[in-house]
Amino acid sequence: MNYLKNKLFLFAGLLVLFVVRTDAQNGMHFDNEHSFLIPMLENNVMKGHAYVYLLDKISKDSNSFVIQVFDEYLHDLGEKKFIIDSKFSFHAAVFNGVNIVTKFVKAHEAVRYIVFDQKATIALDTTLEIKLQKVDKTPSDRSFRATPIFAVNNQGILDYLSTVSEGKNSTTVIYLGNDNKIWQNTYSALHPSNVQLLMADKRFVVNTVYNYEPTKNFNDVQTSVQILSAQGTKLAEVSMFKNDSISIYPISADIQKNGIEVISQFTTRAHEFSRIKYGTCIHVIDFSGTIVSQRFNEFTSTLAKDSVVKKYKLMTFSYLYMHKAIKLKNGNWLVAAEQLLRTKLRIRFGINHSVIFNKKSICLIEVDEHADVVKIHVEPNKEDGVKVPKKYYRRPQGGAMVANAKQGLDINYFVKDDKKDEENISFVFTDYNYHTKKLSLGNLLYKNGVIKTDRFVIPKFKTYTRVGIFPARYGHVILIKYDPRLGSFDFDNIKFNN
Amino acid sequence: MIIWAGKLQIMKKIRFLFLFSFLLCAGYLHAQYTSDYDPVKYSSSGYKMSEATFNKKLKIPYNTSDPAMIKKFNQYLYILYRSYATESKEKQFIEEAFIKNYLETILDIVTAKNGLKEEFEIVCTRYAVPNAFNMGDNKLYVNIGLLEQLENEAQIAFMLCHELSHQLLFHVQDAFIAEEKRAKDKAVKKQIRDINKAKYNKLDKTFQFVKNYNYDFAKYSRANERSADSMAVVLLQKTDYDLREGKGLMEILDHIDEDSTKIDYHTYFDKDSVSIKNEWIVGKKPALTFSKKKAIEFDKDSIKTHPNIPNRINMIDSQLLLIGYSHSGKKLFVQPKATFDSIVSVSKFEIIEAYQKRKRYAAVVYYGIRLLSAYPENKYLYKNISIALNELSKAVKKHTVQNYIPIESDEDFSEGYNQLLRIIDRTTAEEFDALVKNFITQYYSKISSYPEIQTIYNELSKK
Repeated sequence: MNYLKNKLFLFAGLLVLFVVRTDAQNGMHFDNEHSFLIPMLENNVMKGHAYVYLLDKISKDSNSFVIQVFDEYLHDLGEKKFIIDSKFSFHAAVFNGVNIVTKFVKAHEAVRYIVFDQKATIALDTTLEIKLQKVDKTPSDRSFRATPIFAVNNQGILDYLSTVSEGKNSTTVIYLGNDNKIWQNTYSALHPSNVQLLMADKRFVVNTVYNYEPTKNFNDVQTSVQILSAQGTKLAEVSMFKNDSISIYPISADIQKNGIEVISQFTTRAHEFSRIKYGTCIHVIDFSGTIVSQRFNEFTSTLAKDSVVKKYKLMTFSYLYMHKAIKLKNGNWLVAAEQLLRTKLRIRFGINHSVIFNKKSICLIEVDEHADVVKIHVEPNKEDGVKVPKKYYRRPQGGAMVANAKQGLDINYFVKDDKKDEENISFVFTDYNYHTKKLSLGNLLYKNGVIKTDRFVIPKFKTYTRVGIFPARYGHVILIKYDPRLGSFDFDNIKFNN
Repeated sequence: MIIWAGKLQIMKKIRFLFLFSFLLCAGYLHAQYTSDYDPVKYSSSGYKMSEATFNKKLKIPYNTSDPAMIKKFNQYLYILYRSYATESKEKQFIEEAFIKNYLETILDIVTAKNGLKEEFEIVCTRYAVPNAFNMGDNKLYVNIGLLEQLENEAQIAFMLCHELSHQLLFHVQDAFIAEEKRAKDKAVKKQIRDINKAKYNKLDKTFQFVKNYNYDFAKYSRANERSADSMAVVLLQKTDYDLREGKGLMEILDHIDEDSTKIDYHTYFDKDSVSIKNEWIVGKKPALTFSKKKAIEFDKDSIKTHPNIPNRINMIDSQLLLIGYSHSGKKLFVQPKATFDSIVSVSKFEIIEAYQKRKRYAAVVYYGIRLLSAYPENKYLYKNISIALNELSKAVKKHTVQNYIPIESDEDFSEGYNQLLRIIDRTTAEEFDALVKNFITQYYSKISSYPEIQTIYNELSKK
């Protein structure tokens, strides 16, 4: 542990850079590109952490890197030094159930994947010449791509790249299998678009596609669900369309025996200052791309009289932003949502009007196969100051969030324990209180149908001016304390009580 | 010089008188630990004299005639003295007379038999790490963590002779002088300059430089250890202590980190309401492996500062053969065995006291429960375990328990300790609180006279 601390201390400078970038993005976002201690999960179960760093400049054309791997307890499992072209920079690392895949990028030109087996030998080293989009130094709503590499268990990885194809901005999906087979599938459209993964298994890859047709005052988003075979062939694409006045945003999918169940959030298309109607919907799509069934549940009407909803005023000038969902063993969905309270309309001459939202509550909603709400748990958060940009786009995958928290401290994620006979799902979240300047850290634990909360305010530290968190093993969270000015740095492995 | 020697003799006599009176009560002390234990006396004075006064009082021989080097070494000794004074104020040193006198008597025997006129001081520290050391300041430091593992007085004598040899052979002083010379060495300076200027492979070059330095240092250190062992045999040969215990000491050191104690936590924590679940104590296999190798690695043998224990044993063996050693008339104990036993027992209890002071609460619970097998009626143990458990429970609730416990590790800790760490780690706050309550209520009748335990018990009863 001490060794690890010392080692990481050396790279506090790197962390400072990381903080500067993530402030503009989304807090200490679970974004592999910017993490220096990368959590490696398999089916939301923490398996370990990887740490990749530049060791030395070997020559004009080559650099040496080190990959260091830690287990879930942060015990050092070993290191491997390797040398690559100096034009490549490290981007991500992921454990795919068998091997550890690292990704290096040569700006605008190529992607290189180096696969390490668990004996720390290089199993595969391959470079793909792909024209990549330029990365904004300060990512905007649209250019922000929160798509960490997705591990298809024991089979390979899926990587979603923002590329340029025939002069158009596109999304290229790359699959790298454990048998060293690679395929790629490129999606390009007239309007700005974004392809994200909903779910993948050994048979299918299910993506969601967002096509943006921005207007002056609201976002017109058309979405669809793509079904690809595990070999990369596009089997079907289903438009998630109900009528002109509704937008459907897929959150997650479950690949079943006879079809795919997709859970989405839908909203009515409305002017940003008017009241938005929203709810969840569940589509069952067969493998040929036909919608077998669809259920809609409009929260704004069905839940209006719910006692919990009334108690916490979830529907009063509010919008529930549902961004993550996880399939439960009982067939239901557990959806993580945030209540965004519209507090005021800011009118400034010469500048576009904007709406200020405050993140009021964090909710876990259990939704059954008919999209009906079985249970709703609300974790209230008073006076939280989160400004939501005027226009925002959804990033349902891998922990992406809509809101930009002040101080960049907003993060949340699902993590499960590895017990097969029980269902323990932990939803870890942070909330930064804009007014009191305190960061609160919490764990909503879904344990066999019961939700228990453990939440506490992180104390201020004398020697560290900033704190942040990183995902750790189930029941724990890594709290990082640092001082960007002094470069001092430390972390704690905090245990939740529930 | 004669006057000084005379003073030394008088002081030695006074020490013997003190020792005699304490020896009388030693047997009583040992018997007492079965039911309770009173922590021994600790140092409390943190008096720091000025550097000028310190230098005036300093009476140590030097292995160099270079006044600049002597001045620098004196500065080092003054820094050492200041840190000693600070630690003394923090009660890090044991001042209990019967322990000090026992150790000093051994040293006096060695110095008297070998005609050594210098005065050396023994410092018994409260550190749990099994170690003894010399810093070149005429003090021989002995940790309680080492004392609790020893089997007889002859082993203490060998250990003291070894540390005394480091002092007599100027090992620390020589290392200091060598370091100073190295820092001024033109070739070394050039090497550092070259590394700074290097555009590529900077780290590799730095590593090579550090590696060579470490290998040289370790080689030098191993040679020093061998000569200290050798001189220890020479020093001890003239006393009545059995020299073969030098080998006994080495064998203990060889296995000093091994701890195969099995603790049945169910006995202490289970009750009808809550009992320890199997899943709380069973270790998990890591989901990942990754070669266990370092990207930049030192050769393990080349970096060792001490020779291998079997080599040291062989060396002592051949030395004994060379001098034609006969153990007839040699003793394991010169002083009463009961006093030695008391010191070992005190060391065991003091380890708990040291952990309690450093807020290593899980260690207090583990060592406390481990000691309970030998002292099942000892109130001190029950009291300290209860206090530590209560502190852990409070820390769990405050989400600060990581400040008081390490993360389980098969490599670093025994299975018994890991099991305790797992229990703390895998239980919820309520579950752990219930286990704490089980322990305290189960043994409350034994420790109910302590006010602090009463307070804890009352708080627990309210829940």
